[in-house]
Order: sequence, then C-alpha cells, then structure tokens
Amino acid sequence: MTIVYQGAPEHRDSTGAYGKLREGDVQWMTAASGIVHEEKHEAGFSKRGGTIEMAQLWVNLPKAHKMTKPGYQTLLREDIPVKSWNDGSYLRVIAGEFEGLYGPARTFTPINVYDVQLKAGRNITLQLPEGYNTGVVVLKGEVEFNETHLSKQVEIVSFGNEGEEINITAVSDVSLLVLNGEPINEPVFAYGPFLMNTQEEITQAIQDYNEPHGTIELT
Amino acid sequence: MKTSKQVTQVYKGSKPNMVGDGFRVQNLFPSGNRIGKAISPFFCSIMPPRYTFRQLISHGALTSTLIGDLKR
Repeated sequence: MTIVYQGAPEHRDSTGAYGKLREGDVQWMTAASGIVHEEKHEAGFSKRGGTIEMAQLWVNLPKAHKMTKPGYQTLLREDIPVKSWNDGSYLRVIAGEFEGLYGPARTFTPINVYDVQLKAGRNITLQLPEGYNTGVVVLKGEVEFNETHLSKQVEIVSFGNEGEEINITAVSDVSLLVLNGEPINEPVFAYGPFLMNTQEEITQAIQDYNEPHGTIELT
Repeated sequence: MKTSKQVTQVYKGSKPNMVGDGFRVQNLFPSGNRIGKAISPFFCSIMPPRYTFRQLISHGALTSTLIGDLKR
C-alpha cells in the first residue's frame, strides 16, 4: 500500500494494471500468488521536478488467500471519505470504518487504515475494536497519546490489544498513519520479495517465479 | 465505560538513506525486531526467520545463473 502525500508516481504491473497517482491518492497492490511491478515518477512530473513524499507499507494475507489472484486498486482521493474539523484537521478513511465512514480499499482481513492530519491543539478519540493490533506511525510533528505518552517524528507507537479507544492530542501540526487490524496468527517466512507461511512454500514460490511458464502471467 | 489501549512499544525510524537517482528513504521497520508480530497484519515482511542464500541453494531454488552471481 502506498499513500502519496506529494508528487506523482506511476505504476504498471504484470496483470496489465496501470495507474497514475496524484497527491492524496492511494495505491493498493495485492501481490498474492505473484506479481511483477514497476514504480516510477510520472513522465510530466519527472520533467517538471518537485518533491515526492510517500509512505509505503505491507499488509499480510492469511494462508487461505496467499495464492489468490493478484490485483491492483487505485484509490482516488475523491473516493476516500473524510472526517473534517473546523480548524483544518481531518481524518481520511482508506480502509475499514470510522464513525460511519467506510474506506474504499478491498481487504482480505478486517483492518482500519486512517490518514490523520491534525492541527496543533486538536484532540480526537479513536474507537478501535478490542483484540485488534494497533500501530500509529508519527510521520511529522509531536503528539500525545492518552494524555500520558509523548511521541514525535519518526516513530511507530504500538498499543496493546486490550481496550477500545486511543486519545490523541496534537502538540504541533501532525501527520499520522493509524494502522489497526485483526492479527493473523500464522507463521511467516520471508525471503527477499517472497512471503509465505513455510520454508517449503518459499522454495516453491522461487521455483515458480523462475519457471518460464510459471504462475506469474506477463501481459 | 470504554478503556484506553495502552502504549506497549515505541519503534524509532532508521537514518534516511538514498536509493535510485536520489530518492531519500527512511525505513521505519528495521529487520530483526518483532514489530511485525506486534502489529500483524501490517509490516509482516520484516519478520524473521529469513533464509540465507546458502539454504536456498541447498533446496535447489535458485537458478545456476544466480548461483554463479553469488560466487563471484
């Protein structure tokens, strides 16, 4: 998953998917059984120049879906619901739900992903399911959690599964990425770009990739 | 009454490094720590165990071309 804060990346992949992204757009590629992809600056942006700022992260798939068909979603900024406050603070629901707003991302397990931009002094409370794992990435600024823990860029703050809410106070203008999801309690084996559940599956995945007519279809 | 989720761990980002033609990248998920488990299903790609090249070669997973590259 790639969230574009500034710049204009361009994507194409072995499923034939293509996408140009602008500020505020989100790219969500599902590698699943295998995908080959390319990411670069969009041609016009490369000529003009400018700042590119993105956050990129990974979401695991449960074993039952590891070999599902790969896919690609471009989530345009106008399709991402926004909760706004009158001081210019806002929260965008990329995946999951927040106060009746539903994010457009299609996911394989229940998750909530929020892009949160708060002005200094703004206080909000997030209601998050008990039993889900939670991490808040502090991308910019300084923030206080639950009136007790001060955190600043660049840190990831993880929270215990017990409890149902997190109180956030922006000490300065802040940019946060809230990640919340049902844990996948399965073993994970990784090698380079390959990620499966067992050593044997990793070996098989690499063999598949090297096969001239393997599981990755180039279009 | 609802209760708050408590902070359990704080992970600091690494120093930025340059990739490609001058792309500044800061990795927040250094290899080897257990954050992958702490906030599964996110960031799972950094979770150990990982394989060494030699283990994979012994399983016959790498092509001879790649093995040749490794020996150089």
